[in-house]
Amino acid sequence: MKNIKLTYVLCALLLGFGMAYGQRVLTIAVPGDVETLDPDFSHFQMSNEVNYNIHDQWFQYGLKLTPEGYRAYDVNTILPSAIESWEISPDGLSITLKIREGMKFNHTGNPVTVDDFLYYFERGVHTKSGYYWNITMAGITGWEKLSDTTFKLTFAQPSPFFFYLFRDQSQAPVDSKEMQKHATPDDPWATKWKARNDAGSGEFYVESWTPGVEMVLAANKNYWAGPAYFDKVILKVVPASATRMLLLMQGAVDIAYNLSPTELDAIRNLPGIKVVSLPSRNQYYLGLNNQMPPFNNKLVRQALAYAVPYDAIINDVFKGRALPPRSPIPQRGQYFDGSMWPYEYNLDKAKELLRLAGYPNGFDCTLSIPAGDPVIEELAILLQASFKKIGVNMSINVQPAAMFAEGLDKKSHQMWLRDILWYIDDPAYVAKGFYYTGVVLNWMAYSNPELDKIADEMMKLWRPEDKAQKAMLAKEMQRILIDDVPCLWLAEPYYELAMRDNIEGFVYLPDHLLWYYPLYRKE
Amino acid sequence: MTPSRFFKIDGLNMKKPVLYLAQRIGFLCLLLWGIITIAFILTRALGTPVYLLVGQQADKEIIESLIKSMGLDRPLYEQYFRYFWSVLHGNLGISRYTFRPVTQELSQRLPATLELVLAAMILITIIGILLGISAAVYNNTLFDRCVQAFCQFGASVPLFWLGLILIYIFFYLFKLAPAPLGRIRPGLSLPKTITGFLLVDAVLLGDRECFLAALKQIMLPAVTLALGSLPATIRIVYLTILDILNTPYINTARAYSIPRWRILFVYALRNALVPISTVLAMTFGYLLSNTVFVEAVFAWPGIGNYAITAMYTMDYDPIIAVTIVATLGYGLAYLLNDIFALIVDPRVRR
Repeated sequence: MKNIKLTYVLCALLLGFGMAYGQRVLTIAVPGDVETLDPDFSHFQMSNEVNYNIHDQWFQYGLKLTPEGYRAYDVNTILPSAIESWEISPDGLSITLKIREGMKFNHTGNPVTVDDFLYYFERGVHTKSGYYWNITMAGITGWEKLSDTTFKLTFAQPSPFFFYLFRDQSQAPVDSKEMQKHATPDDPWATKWKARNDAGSGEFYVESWTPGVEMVLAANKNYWAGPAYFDKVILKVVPASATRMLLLMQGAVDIAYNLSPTELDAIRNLPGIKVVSLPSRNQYYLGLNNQMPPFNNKLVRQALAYAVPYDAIINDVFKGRALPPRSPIPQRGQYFDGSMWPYEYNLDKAKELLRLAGYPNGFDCTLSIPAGDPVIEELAILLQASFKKIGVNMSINVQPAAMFAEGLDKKSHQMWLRDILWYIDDPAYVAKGFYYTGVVLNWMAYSNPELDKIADEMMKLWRPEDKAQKAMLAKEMQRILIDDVPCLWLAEPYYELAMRDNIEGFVYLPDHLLWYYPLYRKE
Repeated sequence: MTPSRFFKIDGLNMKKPVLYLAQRIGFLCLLLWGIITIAFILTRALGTPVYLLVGQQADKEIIESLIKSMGLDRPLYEQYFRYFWSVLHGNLGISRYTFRPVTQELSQRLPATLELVLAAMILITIIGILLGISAAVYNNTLFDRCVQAFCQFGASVPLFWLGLILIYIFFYLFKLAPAPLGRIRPGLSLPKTITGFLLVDAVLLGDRECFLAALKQIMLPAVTLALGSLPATIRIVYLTILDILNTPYINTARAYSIPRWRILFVYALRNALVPISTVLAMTFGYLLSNTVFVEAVFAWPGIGNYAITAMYTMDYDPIIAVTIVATLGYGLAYLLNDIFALIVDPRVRR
């Protein structure tokens, strides 16, 4: 009996405290668990988002307003965050960085030092993780401690997108003293420990984590820019999207992730709810393997580009919430030029091109898609029906996600369908990372020496005054790709996020991660 | 009926029942072995988790080193024996995503699922037997028709949809049920875990608030889960009782003007016990593997949601482990049913 009374008293006390201090809590219904707290090994949306919020990245983008009136990242302004100031050498081959002083890691209280920044370079190189990708993409060849607050990076050649890469969720100081404590002989970089533990100095820290149930983040009261409005952010795992929608409608959660286009349309105009909706740099592709017949024939690829029902895709699959493709560079990307785009839904032209290519009666082919994605399935079925009209019999091979990913990596799919979000807004990055001969993401096995040359040229342009020349090269790149059609560009869907209408302060980030720091509740 | 009494009845002949049980347990082991083997082959056939684990940007070197560290470069039979050997030692492997032992993760999630399944089982047993008997007694009346219609509905409606509709009605429209956010409402938790069953732990700790909160949370998912399996139970009870009510021995009892309730609940029900317990055992196994849908809709942190996540990420060890647990659930329920039949039905003993 005593126990019961004590519990009641405790409950009452806790309730009282909660009310007195009026804890500000943001609750988000998320589809699945956070996979890992190791930003180096994270390539999942939920993990990236949490890692973005619990780590203090080197830099941030400045903000500007989109035509729709949302605050969004501005690639032309880079602001300091964990790095307070920097100086690029005149030849662009090195950069000296000064860290922000007085910062502490959230869980241990250890001060953030230059060693913590450099530890991650070593870790990245040895574990060949995401950090390693950024090091190689930025062409960094050396890192060196200069003083207790400064260090220097050297580049093989000046990097046009060093800053874009180093505002990534993984580019943040991590408590190296604590990490080393958890290193073991067969796990010298503490990857197992880091996957479950937060060692960041960001705006929030992980207060508790119940796998499959929820993750509770608490605000860092000592954050250098001041604490966030919300004291706590609770990520509630709710696997069914319809349940997430009902929870949002009822006000039991503030934000609901990953609602389907139909669900978003159902709640868009309800009182108490708003849906953030703006064009993004996400693109859907139908990849064609440029080494496999018949797609090694450019005319065949062009023919298919005329058989894509562009309007039906926008209206039926995306309910009007997508932009049509006008170039390999998304419409909201830097150096986008829509003036060269010839493709439209024209079956006669498609048939004519097939005839010229030597396939007057069409051909059979196989499209691989990952299972469990309704949008991709709808797109595949729509395209299948359309291609059939020009004699192209495309069978759809639905594969488990793991198998599909393996096929992409091995470039063994004849055709594939998926989306890619270009979070680095730079044509050089896309050219070098996706269309360049032999790179890992070139799942089309596409190769054009002319394009490779342009990509290499663009990689050399890093000064602000190089913009005019870059624009010229970017135009040439778009011209070549539009003519070559290594893949079919299908649509550029909007970024959409459903929330209660009293949540304000939303900032649109290029990687579609939600930044909790600027959010607040309108009283 | 205690075992000692039952053995006495049989005239000290323990050999047959023991042999029978040994046979059953042996069969269960064989079944487990078969399931593990099939699950092992199927998961391997559906692609390696490596490419999902390393992401799109990884280079060849990291892929190869991961394949090696996961032992996937070895021949399939060697991987199989290694895995089987570790399972025999109670080690179900580790999750490649969370880096935690699967046994540890299962021990956190299994009680949630079992609690839900048992709550549904209680509903199914009580409602199923009552409705089944009543429908048989009032055969061919309006009541009987209603029960049959209810069975048709329950058997044909998908659980996923049913759960959503119940949430829509009870949570969204009438605000009678709490938010479908798992086992207990946000902000409330028990000071410690004893059995892992929230309701039981709340009683043991004397925490009324937690008990009521947990009870409210489990209500809708348990009803959803029960509705899906009720029709089978009702129909079996209904048909069995209907059969029995037409047998000569019941007619004889009627002729002796034994009270109706006594005929029904003592003479008729006793003979229906074995078929009923069989259908309940089947239902238990069925529920254990079908909570997936209900858990997804009600954000219930059980093995169903665990399995879905593992399947999407091709996390080998958790997938096989969940399969093993579901098989064990089925197997143990059947075994209990066999023992039960052994006790109540003398025919089985001979």
